[in-house]
Amino acid sequence: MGDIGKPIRETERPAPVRPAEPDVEPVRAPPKPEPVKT
Amino acid sequence: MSAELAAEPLVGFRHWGARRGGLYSGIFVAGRFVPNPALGMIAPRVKPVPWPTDDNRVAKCFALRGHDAPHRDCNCGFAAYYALPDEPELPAPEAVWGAICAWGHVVEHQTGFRAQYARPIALLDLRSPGDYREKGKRLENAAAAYAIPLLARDELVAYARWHGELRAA
Repeated sequence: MGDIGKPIRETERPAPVRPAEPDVEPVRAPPKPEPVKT
Repeated sequence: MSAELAAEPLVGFRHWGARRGGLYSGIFVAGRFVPNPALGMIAPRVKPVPWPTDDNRVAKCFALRGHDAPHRDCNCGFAAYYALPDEPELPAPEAVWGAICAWGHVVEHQTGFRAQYARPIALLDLRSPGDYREKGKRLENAAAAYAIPLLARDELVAYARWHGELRAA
């Protein structure tokens, strides 16, 4: 890393929040309809 | 200088040396990448380690009279610039640019910062011409190892902004 200049201030910062995993079953595609015999 | 409480992590941009999927801090000298020269001076036999792929890494200071990193009067800590340069330099074939998210204690400078904790969040899709190692997949290997995206410039900046505060330089 190169020069980043003089210090200006100091901070305390929170950790990043990761998106929560979904707690529900994934939506599944409905079963294919039976072919209609004529 | 007492630390102020800030609401968000800080995001920034930096370069690494990428080798076999690992992102290493270091310096570039005459077209070559030298990983972590400070560590090499105090412990020449210790192999440099890449940035971790998880969040459990705290910055260390390699000064003789060590202290918690980052210290205001030192250069230690995970460093990055606030802004991605208009034309990011690639001073060696291993050079790659990317964005990081930083938190914990942060020393904020005029054009960049040094942080206690940080992790890469994305890499810039810009490769050094003439880099034929790793079958031309150096960037892809690093992105896969850290499970982070490889993005064009505008996308990288937008993605970084989504992860925390992006300060104007």
